[in-house]
Amino acid sequence: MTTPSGDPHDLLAGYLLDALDPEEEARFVAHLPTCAACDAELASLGETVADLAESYHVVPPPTVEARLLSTLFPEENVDPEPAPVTATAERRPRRWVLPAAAAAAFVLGAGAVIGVGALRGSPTVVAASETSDVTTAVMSAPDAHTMPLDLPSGDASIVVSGEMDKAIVMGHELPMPSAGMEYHVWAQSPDGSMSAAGAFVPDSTGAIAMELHGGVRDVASFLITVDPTGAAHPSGVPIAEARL
Amino acid sequence: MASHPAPTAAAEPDPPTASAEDLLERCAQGDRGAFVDLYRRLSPGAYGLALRVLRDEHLAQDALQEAFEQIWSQSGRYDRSRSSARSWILTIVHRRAVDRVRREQVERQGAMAWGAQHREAEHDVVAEVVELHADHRRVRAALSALTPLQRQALELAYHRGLTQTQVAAELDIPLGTVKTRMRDAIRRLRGELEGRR
Repeated sequence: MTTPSGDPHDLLAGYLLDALDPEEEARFVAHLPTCAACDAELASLGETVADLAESYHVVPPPTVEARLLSTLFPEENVDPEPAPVTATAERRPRRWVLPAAAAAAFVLGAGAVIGVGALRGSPTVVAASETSDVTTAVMSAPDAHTMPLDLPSGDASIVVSGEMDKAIVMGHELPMPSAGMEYHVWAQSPDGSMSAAGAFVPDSTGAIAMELHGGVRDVASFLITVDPTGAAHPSGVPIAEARL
Repeated sequence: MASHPAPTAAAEPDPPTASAEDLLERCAQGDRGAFVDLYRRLSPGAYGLALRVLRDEHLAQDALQEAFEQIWSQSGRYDRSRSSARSWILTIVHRRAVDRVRREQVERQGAMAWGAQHREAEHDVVAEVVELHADHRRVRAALSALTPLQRQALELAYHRGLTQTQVAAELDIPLGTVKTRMRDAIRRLRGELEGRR
């Protein structure tokens, strides 16, 4: 294992991503004024991190702006169009506000918006960490093969290792399916028969990393549908396919 | 810490072309109208970031508010020759969100546990949906050019708020590997984004 000390240049990415321990951060901050290379790299990669940061937009409720301004400027109302301060009905007229279920349906159809309905009422996180042993093993397998899924919205891939006879599905920013629905992965064999390889609801950020059942040796392709929870057969039209 | 001069009596309306950098510099001079404009322009990206890290709208709204309080009070430190206003602001927002995640981790011994607890009380809230930021597809396409392991490193560190030491423990790989992977990921992302402008 690596000791906590080491080359301070190696801390730059962690510093940019806010991923340093306090001791490491102090060391990097002390190093920075002495190193023109790190300084230049920091400025350049800072904009990359900002792009990463800003890739997901959600308009905050107007109550946040009202609280912010009344905290900072308690003696006056600087807002040229005062935001309502009462708690309940004020956010309804905004055009981007939809009931959660309608939003999810719209999202899956349109592919141009993201729903944050995902934030509530969804099953708990099925994040990478729960399954990280298998998913990491498959991702790191020497013969790992990543097949991107062309979903209407969000990014997902199936990663297959023939040697391990395993496949995983991983994705992020997937829209939350409507209530009672899940993403289903079906394994299609060369003779056309289908078997269930797994079903999932992404976590509240739209992320998923999950092992698929049944191996890959007899699989010709994986199909993705959005079907009712517990469905034993695909009923919907596949929204994406990955051919092995 | 910047100290703000007394506010001008009547803030002039901002020309629509004022850059975020202009607005942030005017904040340093005590221009509250510029601050409101800046908040409205950058808060969707900032809130989206806080939500991704904190995964709870109440925590994310608190982090957003705290971050913009800090942005106002420290606007005198901003130097446009060093970074864009967007980058400077999102750095503060991310830091606030990550600090909060780590406090919650300590207090509740594990982000999963608190995530599950927090979500239970959140039914029947109106979902807010926004059109994708114009850059979103570009960033997504750039991310898809990374290896799965590089994406995972960015996700765990930047969006889950883990330290690189925690990432190493989580994935059971050496810390040095995590550092290399994060550095390669972010450099490759830069190259991909530059190629897609």
